Amino acid sequence: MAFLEAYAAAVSEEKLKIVIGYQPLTPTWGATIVTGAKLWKPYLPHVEVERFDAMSGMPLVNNMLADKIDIAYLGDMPAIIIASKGKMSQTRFISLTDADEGGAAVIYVKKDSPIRTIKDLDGKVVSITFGSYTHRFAKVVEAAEKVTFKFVGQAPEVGLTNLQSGKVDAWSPWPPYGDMIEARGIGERLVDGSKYHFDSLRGVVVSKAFADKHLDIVVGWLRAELDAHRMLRDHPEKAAQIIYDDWKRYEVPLEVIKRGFTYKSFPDEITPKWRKVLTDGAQFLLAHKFIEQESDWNSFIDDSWLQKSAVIPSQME
Amino acid sequence: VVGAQQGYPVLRLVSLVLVIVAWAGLVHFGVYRFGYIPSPLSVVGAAVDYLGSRDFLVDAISSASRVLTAWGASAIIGIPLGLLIGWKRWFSDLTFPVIELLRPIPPIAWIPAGILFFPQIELSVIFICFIGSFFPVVLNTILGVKQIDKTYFRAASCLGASDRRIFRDVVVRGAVPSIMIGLAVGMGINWMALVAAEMIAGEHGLGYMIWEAYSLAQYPRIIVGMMVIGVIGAGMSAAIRYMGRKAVPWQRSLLES
Repeated sequence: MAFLEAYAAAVSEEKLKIVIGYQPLTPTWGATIVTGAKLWKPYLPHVEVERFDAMSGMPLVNNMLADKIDIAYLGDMPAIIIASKGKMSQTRFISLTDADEGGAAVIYVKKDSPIRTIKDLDGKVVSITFGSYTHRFAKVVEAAEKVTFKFVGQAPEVGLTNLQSGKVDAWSPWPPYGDMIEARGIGERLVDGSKYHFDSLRGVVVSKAFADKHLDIVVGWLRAELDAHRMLRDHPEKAAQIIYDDWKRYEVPLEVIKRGFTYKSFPDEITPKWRKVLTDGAQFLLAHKFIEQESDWNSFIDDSWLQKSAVIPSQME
Repeated sequence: VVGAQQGYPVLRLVSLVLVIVAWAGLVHFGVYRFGYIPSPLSVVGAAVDYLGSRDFLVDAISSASRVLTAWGASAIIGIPLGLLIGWKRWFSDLTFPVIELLRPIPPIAWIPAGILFFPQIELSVIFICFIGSFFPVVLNTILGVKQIDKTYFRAASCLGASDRRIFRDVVVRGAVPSIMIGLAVGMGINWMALVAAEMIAGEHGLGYMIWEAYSLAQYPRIIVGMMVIGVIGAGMSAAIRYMGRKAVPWQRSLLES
């Protein structure tokens, strides 16, 4: 019996490992701060965090549907796609990590391009990332400006190489790719989403099975997320430095990261304005038959964990 | 036994059916992690949607023409190169080390260089495919020449044959069976490189369709794309082996399916 008790004690001492899906080189700054500065530590001392990095949202969705990721930071479109997979795996959208009112959706042309206005781009080749908000944004521009683009669907880094070698006329990436080519003087903004009130967001998605089983971990994690929002709002210099250090291997200059702060906000609540980004995006995907069915938004978007974490006193100095 | 000569067509059908039944069973009962894999039924649904659409024709035609162009290019460049490397020692020393260095590089790693170098998207896509078939064609051609019995070369020289005639009647003829194998293997690898190649295509193509379906988490559709590539790829390899058997009837066993 003593042996069993000792064994049980040893087991409970063991740290629980959780897997966080994360996409470097996206504007999910909150995620970078929480994981990079280990803001979760004071709230989750018994947890060991493994960060799963992927270069686009879809490997995260793929791994989440395969139950290999517990909490993932996803952009609006991957979040909508995972919401539509309720039959395969139940997930919940539990918090925003950052949002913007159009600044993150940009169409770029090469620096010396003869294309100066959207009208010049009529009938030209635009590189977008299929199914992402860059795709939806370009469609919104088409409709608003009564022009038609010839689309090629490419990962942002592939689109950039094609823009540089002149094989596509315009390119719509997500930050920091866009901010980076502006800073390097390779390309310039033709138009951005603020003109069309094109809101976009990134948020925290959790596997329902995990959240049911580990309520405290999800609440603790979101407390750290809220701390990150506060740091990004009140101490942008410090936050930018943390992101810079975390992204060292990608060689993103500090100014480029700070440039991203100029059009971002870090909402602590999932307000109807941001909810609409998800439902509007879903309409776009449905209209193009990219997803098959409408999702159950009332259960998918669930801020009950967020509300619990908001009342926990912050441990961040 | 009668069947031993022609093979057993029934068994080929049985193997296909068995695989599908096993797949359905494993998914249905969720054995190990098969529960995560799309079921044959959902794949049939996606197949009906896709194979009945105009997209399918456009995708299949663009992919097939990319693969065939890449394959043709690797034959035109790879066969003469392989013949010379196999035949002339000095040429081998001059070129073979470079080929050996480039050979292990996976097609996907060539993507940025391919995009930057070629003036059109289409050419970059074909180039990535070409990387797949070029090396098997060269290596099998070299092997084909090396396997030729040395006495043929000596006999031809003794009888006063010129270098040109030796090349035509000994080197080329002797290497043909192995070249045909290289071409069949190269065709298979071309299809294997297709998804990587069409990641940069931007539109159309079976590989692009798989990539696009992945971007939308449409897993049954991905399996439809995999199957279409399997069927068309196997069909093309069979066609090459058939041509090979016609070209070198004395070596048919090498090219039996």
